[in-house]
Amino acid sequence: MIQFTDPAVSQAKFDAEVARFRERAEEYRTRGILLLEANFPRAVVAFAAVHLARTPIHFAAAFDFTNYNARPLGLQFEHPFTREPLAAPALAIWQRNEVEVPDPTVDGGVRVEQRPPVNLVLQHPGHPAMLCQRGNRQYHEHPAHNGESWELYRNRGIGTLANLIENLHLYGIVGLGEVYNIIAQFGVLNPQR
Amino acid sequence: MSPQDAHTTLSVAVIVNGVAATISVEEEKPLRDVIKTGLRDTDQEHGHPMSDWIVKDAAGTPLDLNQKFEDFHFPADVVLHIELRGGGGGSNRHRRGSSQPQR
Repeated sequence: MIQFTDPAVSQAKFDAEVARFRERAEEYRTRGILLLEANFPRAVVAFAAVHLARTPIHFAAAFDFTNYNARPLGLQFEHPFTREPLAAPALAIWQRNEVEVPDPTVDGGVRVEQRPPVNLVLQHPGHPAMLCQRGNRQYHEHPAHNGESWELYRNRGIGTLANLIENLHLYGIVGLGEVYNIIAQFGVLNPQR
Repeated sequence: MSPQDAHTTLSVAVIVNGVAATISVEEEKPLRDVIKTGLRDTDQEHGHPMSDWIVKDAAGTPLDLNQKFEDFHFPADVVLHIELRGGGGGSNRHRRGSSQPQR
């Protein structure tokens, strides 16, 4: 993507968000979240499942700050070591669909209702895998999401580096133990082999 | 003040959408009150409904917002993560297995 906004602005936002990550790098590390690279406009973060015995590094996410935040962050999944793009079958990012519904019988007046989980990773033929969740460029530029303009979410907390990292960790790593055995059983973690 | 009006207030470390802060929490209140206080104290009240926010423990596990803070028996050095759900989660068209972009 061509940088059409003032590069100094995107660079400043990149520096600020990477600095915020580094302030908490130790805490991130204990959760298996590692900053592999930070050279504007690209920051690459690896995600490991520290709660699993063999602690697999499940995937890396490459964030592209070009035109940020006039445009949302670009997000591509990469192999954490080879940097090759990861195909959707290599990823297991499931959103538990928890919906809060009014319920006057419980304290707080709201209870959480479980809905069937949704796979958040999509891949169209000839295109890299994308995260189907608000806050990343591929989601907002997808023609099926033309009612989800980035302007509805910009500067409202969604789509920052920290926000995307937390959602990738929550849906891609925390729940991984539940599906990891199934994925490994079918041999799709390393589809090239 | 009657005994039942007395509340135990604690200082709790939180990270609100990437911003660290220490907030005051009343032990007897539901965990969802942590969200309101955390958003106010870090100036991140962006107008999202409360249901867009979740509270996670250090391992990243979402916690029950209706449970009282004191019932979690958190250690004194607990750090709670208050995070904004990404939302979206794939459209029905995607979930039906379409491999082509929809228009």
